This record gives sequence, C-alpha cells and structure tokens, in this order.
Amino acid sequence: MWRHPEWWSVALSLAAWIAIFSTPRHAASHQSTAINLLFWLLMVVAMMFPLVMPQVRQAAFHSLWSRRHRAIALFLIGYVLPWLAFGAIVITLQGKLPSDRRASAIVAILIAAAWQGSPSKRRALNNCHRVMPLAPRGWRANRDCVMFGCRIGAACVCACWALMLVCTVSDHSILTMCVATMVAIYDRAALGSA
Amino acid sequence: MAIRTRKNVFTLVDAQGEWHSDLLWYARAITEMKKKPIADPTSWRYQAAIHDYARQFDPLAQPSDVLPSATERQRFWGQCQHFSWFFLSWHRMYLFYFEQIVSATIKQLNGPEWALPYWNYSDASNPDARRLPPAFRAELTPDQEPNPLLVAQRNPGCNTGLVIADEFDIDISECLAEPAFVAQGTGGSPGFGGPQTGFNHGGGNAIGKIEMTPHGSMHMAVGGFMGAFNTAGLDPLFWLHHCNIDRLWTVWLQRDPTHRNPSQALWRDGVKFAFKDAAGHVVEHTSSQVVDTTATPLLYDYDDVSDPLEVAPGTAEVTVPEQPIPEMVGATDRPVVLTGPSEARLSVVPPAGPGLEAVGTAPEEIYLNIENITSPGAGPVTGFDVYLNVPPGEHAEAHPELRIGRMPLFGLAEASRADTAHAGNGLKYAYRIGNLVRRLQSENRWNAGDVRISFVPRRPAVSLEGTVEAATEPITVGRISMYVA
Repeated sequence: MWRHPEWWSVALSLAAWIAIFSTPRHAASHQSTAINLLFWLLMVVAMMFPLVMPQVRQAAFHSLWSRRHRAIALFLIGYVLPWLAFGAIVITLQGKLPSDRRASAIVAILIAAAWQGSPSKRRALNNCHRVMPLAPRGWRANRDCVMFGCRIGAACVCACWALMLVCTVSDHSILTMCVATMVAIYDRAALGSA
Repeated sequence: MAIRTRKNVFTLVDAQGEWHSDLLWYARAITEMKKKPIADPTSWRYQAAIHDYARQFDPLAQPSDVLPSATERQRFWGQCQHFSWFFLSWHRMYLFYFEQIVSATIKQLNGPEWALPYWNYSDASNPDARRLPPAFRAELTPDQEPNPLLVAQRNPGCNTGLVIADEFDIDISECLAEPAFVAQGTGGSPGFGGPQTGFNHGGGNAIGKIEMTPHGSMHMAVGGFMGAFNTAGLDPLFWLHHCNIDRLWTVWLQRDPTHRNPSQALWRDGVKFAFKDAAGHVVEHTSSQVVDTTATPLLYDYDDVSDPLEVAPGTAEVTVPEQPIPEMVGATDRPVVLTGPSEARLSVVPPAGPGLEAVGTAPEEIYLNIENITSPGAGPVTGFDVYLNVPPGEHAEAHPELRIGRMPLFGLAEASRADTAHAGNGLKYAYRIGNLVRRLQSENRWNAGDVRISFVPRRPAVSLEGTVEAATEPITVGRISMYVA
C-alpha cells in the first residue's frame, strides 16, 4: 500500500464503471439535469481517473507522508471541477440537439476525429503532463493540491472534450465509452508519460 | 568486421606536434558537410537539427533555406532525449550515425578510416584537459583553410587556450559512484542514467547524474552554440564531448559488477528512435540494440575505459536499499526567484512513513531536490552553485564545506517551453546531502526548523553574438524539497 497510495482512487473508478454498467440506460432527454450531471461525473471518474494516476501519485509523493491521502483527495476534487463545468454546458446544449440521435453522434465523431490530429490537441495533451509545485503544509498545501487538480482537469478537458462529447451524444453507451477510453489511453501512451 | 577505436583527442598529435590526420580529416569533412543544404540528411545543419531545431533561433538561417517537409522534421528533427533514462542510449545512436556520415564523407574525399575522438576534460594526469584541444582553437587548418573546428560562439577564454572549467564542472566522482542506472521514485536518487520516461520531451523529471555533471556543466563551460539544445550540434566540440559521455557509460558499467543497464522491457525495447544513415536510409533502434558498442551495428570501442576513481580505503560506498520509497520531509512553501545570489528557507519534519525504514540504517540518504526550474526567455543563462546553511550575513563562497553542488541549467529554455512538443515543467536537480547534514548535525549547525539553501550565480553568460552579459531573465525555482530514502 505504501507504494500505491492512489489505490483508492482506482477503486473509485472501478466503482463508477460498475455503476454505469448496472444502471438502466435512458435517453438523456428523459432524465433530469441533475441525473445527467451525475452520469457525466460517473463517466469522468470511470474514464479519466485511471488516466491521471501519474499526477495522482505525484500529488501523494510530493506531499508530506501524513497528508498524502488528503493531497490525493484535494487533487481529485480540483480535477473534476473543470469537467463538471464543461459537463453542465454539454448537458444544457444536449437538450437542444436535433431528434435524429444518429446524425448527432456522427457529427460528434467527425468533430472528435478532426480534433484528434490537431496541434491544439497535442498541446493540450502535453499540458496534461504539467507538474505543479506543492507547498508542504497548511492552507497553501490544500490550495496547491486543488489548483494542481484544476489545472490538470482543465488540460484534460481541452484534450478530451471531443471524446466526451461523443460519449454524451450516444447517451453513455458502454461501447462508446470503452472505445473512447482506449483512444485516450493510446494518446497518453503515445506521448510518453512518466 | 573490424572494430574501430575512438581515441582521446589529446593523444591525436603527430610527431611534429601538428594536427593528427584524424582531426584534419574531421575538419575537411565538416567543410564538405557545410556545403550541403539543410534538407540533406548528411549536411552539417541537418545533423545539428536532429538534436533540436528552432527556426527563430537558428544562427545560420538563410532566406534561401528549404527545410525538410514538416513530416520529416517531426520524425527526425528535435529528437534529443534529455531528463530521461533514454539520454545515454539515444545520444549513442545519434553519435553513431554522425560518425558514419563523417566517415563516409571522408571516404568520398579519398581519406582513410576514421573514428570520432573524445574530449576527456576530467583527466587528472593532463594539465591541458580543461582547455580546448589546440585544433579547435586554430584560425587555419594545416591546409591553410579557415578552420571549421574553430567556432567564435563560445565562452571567453575557450578560443584563447584558457582553462574554461573548474573541478566541479568536470567532476565524475559522483556520477561514476551512482549505484543504480534508473532514478528512484519521486525525490530520491536521480540515478546514473536518469528517470524512467516514455519518449521524452516533457522535462520535470530529475536529471540523471551523468547528464547533470559533467554533461550539462561542460556544455555551459563552453557556452555559445554549446549552451543551447538547438545550436549545440553546430559546434564540432559537441560530438567529442558526447563521445566522452558515451565512453563514461562504458566506464560506469565496467567499474562495478553491480552497475547494470535497466532490465525493464520499456527501456530495452519500449521506444524506437529513428535516424537516417549515411546512405539516407531510415533506420530505427531500441536501446537494447546499442548496449554493446563492440557488437553490430556499432562496432567500436574506446582506447581507455579504465576506472579513473580511487575509492579511499575505509570510505563506505553508498549503499542503496532495494527500491526504497523516498519520503518527503520538508519543502519551501512558495517559488524562489533567482535574479542573483538568493536564499530560500524550509523546515523539515522527521519521516513518518517509508523514510522511517531508512533512518537507523547507516547511513540513510537525504536528497535535496530543486524542482520546476524555469525561465521565460531563450537568452543566455548562467549556472548556480548551491549551498546549505550558510551562516547569516556571510558569503556562501567563503564556505566550500557547505557546498551542495552545481546547477548547470543546460536545457533551461527548452524545458521551460510549453508547446506542442513540451509540457514546460522546467528542470529538476537532485543532490545527495546525507553526509553534509550529518556533519552539520555533529557540529551543532543544524536546525530542522530553519534550513537555508543559498544560490550563487556562476560565470557571466555569453550570448550567441559573443557579448558577455549578465543573465537578465529571472530564473524561478518552483520548489525546493528534502527527501529521506
């Protein structure tokens, strides 16, 4: 356990996948905004938490031992904030999508494909590897952990917004989520994360 | 096939004390390579661009330049591996194909077999080791042609034969004594060869010991073209410098049977690096293919890989427990800006986790990490020397016994840049300070609540135009931390 303080964040991700698998699927238009946002959060925890394990470990090992779990928790809270903000926008716009879901999905996939090869995506992916110095204790340490999470979260939104759009437009279909996760993993590996 | 031998450049003098033919042919080959356009893989500028290339900072840029295609530049230019366990293996491949191209150029000029010499600036038996070899300072070659081995863009004193490096720049005692190739976990030993990474452009990882010194410090000692990633290959000395670094890899492996290359598949075959050979064909290698210089495809050795260190009797070798987890015990709580001599303070607490395993084992190791060192500009930088607990009001230089080490800052601009290829995390240096801390504790000069780190700037920086100027760009240290392992 000493070597892997991030274990419980991996467990959270697994729990999110289980929750997604075991929940009946409904079209987003038939669900409240709150439920849609919850699903969005589950999607972020399931798909993105495993990808930021290197940064989660950084938060832990760049902290005093006694606050390593607090550092991870604050990092993850900061990490989901940009995603929740983006998710709120997506969910609001989703209600305005045309009724032809297939057409919307195809458009989303085309947008994602175009974004995938762009220099902006590459720049955003590099930003996912930013390292931020963390103060050792006190409110500064708490602030720095949250800000570190926010910064990585914002970079991840910039890198993966198109993939998440595809997942949302397909009403979080398991297949789409799995494919999107594979693409995101490939991106991280191809860049060469530490 | 015959093994060619890379030789100490200081042994390359003929009976009359004139240029040895190896150096004369090197100069002739460079002159020939400089005639070729930048898009030619066998041209001088293309070879330098493989390391790194920034058009806006290219001192040889011409409006008539036709660069290779964007695809080719993406694959073959700007590929240098730094702050990474691939530092040594990538540069070995880079030098090999450069040597092959120079050899082929010499053959085309009806010259003999040729091997790249090395510059052993750490040779204690050579009083001229820390001066540039004479052939690299002469105005003319023996052919009475302008000497391409002479480059104006170097620090003052380089081209006039002065000693241009001090004992700390050329020190090899630390890197050669480093027990493991790969860095420990966060905050611990940076390793001989560097930290585990993928194909690395990111920075932010601790620099391996050999990459820090003598590699980085000698780049900065020569300065000018050698002072930046994107121009370093334009100085003919670059190749002799890296030849020596490559030789030291073999020296490290051979001096101690416990010194081994990484066994991880990720290092051995996880990443392929692409080059173009002398015939212009694309070649790819993984690190496992270049661990033995006497095997195909490399087929070279060195005239001297003997162990230059004498371990004093009774001196304990640094022993490292199997894969310890370094534990952070203190850090600064805000960034430190270095515009000149500067000081930072931190407090440390006793270890509470894996560091406890180290305490009580004699001796535990303590590491000082200087993290996220960045600078906004591409201007000249000057390195710093770092000291521990200098008495208040006193000059650090008056206390050599408190010296921690040197920050060469080679690669600062590149590591600071966030773009499509870099994360902009800056440089990170790690130093062993366990012995120093224990000495201060025994002398009652240690207070865990008030640990002071002093930074003293080194020689003035020199711009590419050759003007001596103080480094004007502020250098920011993100954090200074201490770890116990």
